[in-house]
Amino acid sequence: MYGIHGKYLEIDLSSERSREVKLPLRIFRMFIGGRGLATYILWKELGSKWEKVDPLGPENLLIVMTGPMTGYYPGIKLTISGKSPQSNGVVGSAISSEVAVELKAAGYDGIVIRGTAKDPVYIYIEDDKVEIRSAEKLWGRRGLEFLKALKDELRSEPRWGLEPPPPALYIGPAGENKVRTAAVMSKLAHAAGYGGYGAVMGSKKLKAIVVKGNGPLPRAAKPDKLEELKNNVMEKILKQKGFRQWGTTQGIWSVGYVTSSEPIKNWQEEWHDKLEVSHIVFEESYWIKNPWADWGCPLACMKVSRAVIGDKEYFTDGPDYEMGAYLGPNLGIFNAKEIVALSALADELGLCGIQTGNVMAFAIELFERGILTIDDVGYELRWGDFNCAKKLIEDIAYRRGIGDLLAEGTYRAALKIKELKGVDVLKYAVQVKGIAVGAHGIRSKKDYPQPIAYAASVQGGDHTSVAGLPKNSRESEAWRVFFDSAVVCSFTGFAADEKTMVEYLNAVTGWTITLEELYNEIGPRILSLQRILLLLGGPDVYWDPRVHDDNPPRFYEPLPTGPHKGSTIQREEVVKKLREYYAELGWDEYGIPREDTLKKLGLTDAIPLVNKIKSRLGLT
Amino acid sequence: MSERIWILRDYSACSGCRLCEIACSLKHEGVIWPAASRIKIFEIIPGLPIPYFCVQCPDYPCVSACPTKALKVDDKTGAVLVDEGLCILCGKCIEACPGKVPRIVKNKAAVIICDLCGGDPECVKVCSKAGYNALKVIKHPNNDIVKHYLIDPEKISKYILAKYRKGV
Amino acid sequence: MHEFCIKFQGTLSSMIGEKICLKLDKCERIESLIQKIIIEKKIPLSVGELLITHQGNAIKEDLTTCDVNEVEVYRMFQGG
Repeated sequence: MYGIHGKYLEIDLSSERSREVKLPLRIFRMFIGGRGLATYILWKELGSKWEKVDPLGPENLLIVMTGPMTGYYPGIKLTISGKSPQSNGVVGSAISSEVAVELKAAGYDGIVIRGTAKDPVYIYIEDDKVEIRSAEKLWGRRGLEFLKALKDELRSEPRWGLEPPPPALYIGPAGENKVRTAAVMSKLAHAAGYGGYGAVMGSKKLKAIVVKGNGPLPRAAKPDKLEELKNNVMEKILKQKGFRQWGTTQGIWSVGYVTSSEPIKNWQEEWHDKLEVSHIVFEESYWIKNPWADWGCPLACMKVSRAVIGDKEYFTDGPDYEMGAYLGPNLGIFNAKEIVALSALADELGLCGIQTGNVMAFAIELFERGILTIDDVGYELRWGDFNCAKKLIEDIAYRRGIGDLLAEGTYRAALKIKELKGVDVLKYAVQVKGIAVGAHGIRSKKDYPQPIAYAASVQGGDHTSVAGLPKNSRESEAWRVFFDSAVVCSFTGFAADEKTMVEYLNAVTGWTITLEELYNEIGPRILSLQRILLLLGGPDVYWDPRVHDDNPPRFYEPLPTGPHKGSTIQREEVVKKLREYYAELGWDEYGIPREDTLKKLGLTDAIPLVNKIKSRLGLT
Repeated sequence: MSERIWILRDYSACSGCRLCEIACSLKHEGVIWPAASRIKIFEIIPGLPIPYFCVQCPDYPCVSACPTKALKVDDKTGAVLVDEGLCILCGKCIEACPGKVPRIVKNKAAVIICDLCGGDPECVKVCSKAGYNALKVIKHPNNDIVKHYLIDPEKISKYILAKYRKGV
Repeated sequence: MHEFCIKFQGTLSSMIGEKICLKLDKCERIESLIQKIIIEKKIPLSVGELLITHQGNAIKEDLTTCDVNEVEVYRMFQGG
């Protein structure tokens, strides 16, 4: 085998045992790695009882998975997965972390964690040594304080010569409290947010996973060809000078002002002209380090920002666009310093900025409309109020007061509020299938997501996994699935054209995969499986494609301001494109994978699951 | 003596990309092997990476400490060279080094120390190509000042953070 | 006189059209030509944010409209 080890490490926290699990090469050829392989494992292990598996219970698996291109393609990402507490389906949530390289150096392609620990633990892996250690000195700690405590924990490892501390994946207080909008964290401000897997880790009482690998990465099949392709890709990446200078922080201004597609006040508006949040302001006033890169990356789009408000010091990334937009303009906050502080708080608490910013804005809108009152919350929720946002985000992380309700995420909170108040508030929820929509709107039609981007995605509102036509192109979710399975970072991955990307994969692995195979077999195979598990759903919510394969109601309201005032999307167009998209993927008119498609993709064993879905929906 | 080179480190320019570690291990081991890279990035405080590797101390305490004479000084570059056949992995060079720079790596027969790639260091080249320019080749200062770069990376990162806090 | 066509993908196509074909007198650098078009059509992107391919391979910067007669254009950065 080239490029991969062909095995993952399985750790059972209930029995405190671990073992290596080998998979045949055939499975890697079919599912690649990362998101694809995680989906396969989840299907095999939990598929037959999927609806009954509680994502926050001991049966769920937490999967950490690299792919064949991990370590060889510039940049680094790995995929976190499991049954998602947000969508009840499978999300391949990407995060940048050196753990990806250390895992491969240690001899594994990934880790699958099952069961639940009795008391809080962390896992320490060093090559074939796997230890489940008490996390009593770490549980409850957050941010830099946690990182310091972890470093002290690991200080006693004997070393020959000075070595850097090994990297870790970890959760903050939000994950510990099983908040559904909690992320899995790495370093300071890196997060796997989509899917809510921080809550899964918390439900397993798993505070951190630390990995050190002392061996080499597996050899590539064609090292000379790989070298050539790598130089080719590096050259293209190095041309993106603007990106290195400002990262995605520039979006906080441009996605609002230029493409008119930024969430503002729970998506009530999408355009603004507030120069106070221009990336220049962040750069001049708050950036202390520029650029900051991840492993193997010549692009280096990150920054370190620092803000001081009162006697508290806040450290975070740029912030990156999604965090900045969701914890800034989406809350009506147009102050760069406050945006840095809120982003830093979200990191410290281990919360996904998108999911949490979304439910906070949802709550603020309901308060402004008088549906939530001061009796419900205990304090006023207003747009543009930093102190209120600061308090609310902590309340969510610790499940205090209204925070306990909002910690369930926008969709479930909306259902609960409807129950409590007798008012249907789902129309104010900007989410798809339990997952809040990423900060790229579709009404102005100037941004990249197409009208079916979120409605048809198997990962709901995930802006990094948008569906689109034509199916055999970079626009489609099949291409995104490849990125998340290979695993390649979006920001270096976009520099390579499709042919180069496939050649790259083959140079590492020695495989002979073609672009056609990617678009017609591998992509649809993974998407079909994810779609099936998503529609199986349960145990608390289920999706009906006839109702839920749609955009949030707000996305049909015309934009109220800006140069694209009045612009919106038409439901008829969405329905039409959905049908077209399903047909291309070999799914029926409800977006349910057809039997002949499943047979062609080697997923015959999934046919009974499809019958279960049809039966629940009354479609047999 | 005048030919001896030294790699100057600019901590504020280092992005933490580890392209140097990748290049170093590819050059010396033929595969990507971060644990076997002679240069290591210590990112104790996220966002403040510190490149850490041999500074070629003018008095070469590691060379003096080696009981089997496995370590010697390269006349041309001034780098410490390790003879794999003579090294017995006793660790005395690590003890003698003010910064514990030499490392013993799993499955490698000898200790690893930066050898300056014979005069044209790969790490410098890749750091320049990527446009960070955090590593530069200069003449060896031939002065104990180089040992300052062996201060514990944790201390160095805290010092840098303190500078940022003061607004420097 | 030669014809040169540009196929715009995804949301670019809803802004500019799925395919535009031009009749050109002389050989023009493709990147500059596309830059002119997106400025003309007030598209909120710079050419640096676009990936221009010919039959799946990214084009070299000096490629002209006389070298190939059709290219596909995608937006590069999605998300973040």
